[in-house]
Amino acid sequence: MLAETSSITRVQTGVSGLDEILSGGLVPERAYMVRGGPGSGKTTLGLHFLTAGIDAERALFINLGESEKQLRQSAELLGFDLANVVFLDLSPSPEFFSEVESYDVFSPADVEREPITREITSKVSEIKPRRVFIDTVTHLRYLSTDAQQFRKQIHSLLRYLTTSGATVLYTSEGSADEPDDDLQYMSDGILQLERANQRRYVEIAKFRASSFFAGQHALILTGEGMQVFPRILPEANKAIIGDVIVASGIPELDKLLHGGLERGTITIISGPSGVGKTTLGLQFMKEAAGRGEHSLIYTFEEGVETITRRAENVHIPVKAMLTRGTLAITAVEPLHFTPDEFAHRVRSDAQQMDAEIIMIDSVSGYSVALQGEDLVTHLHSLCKYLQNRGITVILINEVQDIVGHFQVTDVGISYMADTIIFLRYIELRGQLRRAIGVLKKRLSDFEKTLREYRITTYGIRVGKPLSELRGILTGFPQWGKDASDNHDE
Amino acid sequence: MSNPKKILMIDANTRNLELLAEFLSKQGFHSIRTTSVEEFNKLITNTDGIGLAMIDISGFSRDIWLACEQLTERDIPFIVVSPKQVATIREEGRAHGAKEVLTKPLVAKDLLSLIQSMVGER
Repeated sequence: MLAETSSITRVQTGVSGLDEILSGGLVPERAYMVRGGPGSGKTTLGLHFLTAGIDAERALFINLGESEKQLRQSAELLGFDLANVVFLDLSPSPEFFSEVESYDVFSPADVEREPITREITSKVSEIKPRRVFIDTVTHLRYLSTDAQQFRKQIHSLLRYLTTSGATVLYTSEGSADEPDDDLQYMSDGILQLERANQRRYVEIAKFRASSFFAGQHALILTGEGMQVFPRILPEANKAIIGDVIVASGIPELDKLLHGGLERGTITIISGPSGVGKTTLGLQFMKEAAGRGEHSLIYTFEEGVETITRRAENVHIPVKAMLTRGTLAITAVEPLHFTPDEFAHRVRSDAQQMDAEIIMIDSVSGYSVALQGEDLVTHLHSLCKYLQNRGITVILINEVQDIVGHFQVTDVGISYMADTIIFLRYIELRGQLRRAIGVLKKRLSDFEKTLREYRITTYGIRVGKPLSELRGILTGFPQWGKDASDNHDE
Repeated sequence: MSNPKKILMIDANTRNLELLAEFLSKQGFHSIRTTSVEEFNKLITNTDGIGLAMIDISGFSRDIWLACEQLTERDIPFIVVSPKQVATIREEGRAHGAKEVLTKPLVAKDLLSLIQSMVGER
């Protein structure tokens, strides 16, 4: 994804997607900070990191919060194999509480620092770990009498570990009450785990000696641990478009488009509810399937069943296409996915299926998945990414007004379209009819007149140009020459 | 380095006593410990070669000051350890003959140099 590749060997984090953001992984023998509030997945990330080593790479888990027993339990539940992981359990024992007397004559810093330091150094020299995870370093604060001393001690601990050949990950629960700026400064990189609007993100706040993929990337915690979905960022425009025409197979429609859609372009099919936008998109896929090409539909609104039945009714053999594998329909529940997760899914499906056409039905359904995030940015990067892969993208866009005031899209995405096809309801002699027209086509000329659009049991029918009608876009067209004469017909 | 002089300590908290004894023995001092004032008084009269006494007043009644007077009578220098930085304790400690009144938590390095100077003085 990132163009830059580094010559340094990287240490894999073990989290799918995270290494991609880190330009391949962590730089070895350095110390990285994992920041995040409670429940943000810091420990899970650490478990991934410790078990990601190859060839029985020794790893050390220095736990100061949860006990070894608890950690082993949760690791087992998540399916981690801790065979190569040694624990140095510095978490408080239950005896700590039941011991009637705690001391106060010396500060804890004076009493506990030495034994802890001794334990760490002896463990490190004993097992010579390549990966060390300290959870959480915040707990070591009590070993120092003041902030200055703490900083110095942690710094020297990290130096000791990295010079012993280990790559270190340490966690911190920074909050407004207990700032951890000092820990941030001494890290070679910061992985910030965040939770907002019931969603999780990871962001690289700092990464010394390496490039990284900036911004927030979606993250999920599942029964198998952590997974990161890097944001999709289209490369500089290297799309090769315009050579191949994707025809609809309906002569009148292709005439309207002066041939069809160009491969690797973005098309918006816009229109009010029920006018036949999805069917029109499917028509292009039906034709592509005839050429043996593959198409993908992501439907946010209907189930696979509904689409299939509807298409079969209008003579589009979706069932057969699904069986032959020339079409795949995925019903997406928008609230289950983050936009990054969705984009990641589309990307891998497209690669796997070698898709030629991808339809997103619809833009408004997709925007629900965004939950207030910027629609244009996310849709733009996804579409541009697909376009660069030579995929023809069809976006279904529903407009609110059935008739009347004409607008292409409600959401300001028309700029990214190479082609805009619109469908309208028109009232003609007291009958509700439909019209189709092309509003924009970047790569070729197109017919400026509208045509009648009908959906029949034999498929889509597009009529002759409606050149005698005026005012079609208002939804109440009139016969062009002498409107008054025909008024009462 | 071993110092033949003993350090007599009283503290109501046994963990404190352990930590202090551990610390002092590392520095080559021998310590005698107790948690009761009664026993402390007996130790003052019955033990020879006490070079220094340390009294952590937390958890004791005013009887502790009587023990301090005993130490002064026998010319044994002593340090009073107080739980808080309170002026009255400081004054009272001084009035009862304490060479120094320290506040918890003690700073190990400072405590050591203080003890060394006090034991060495004599």
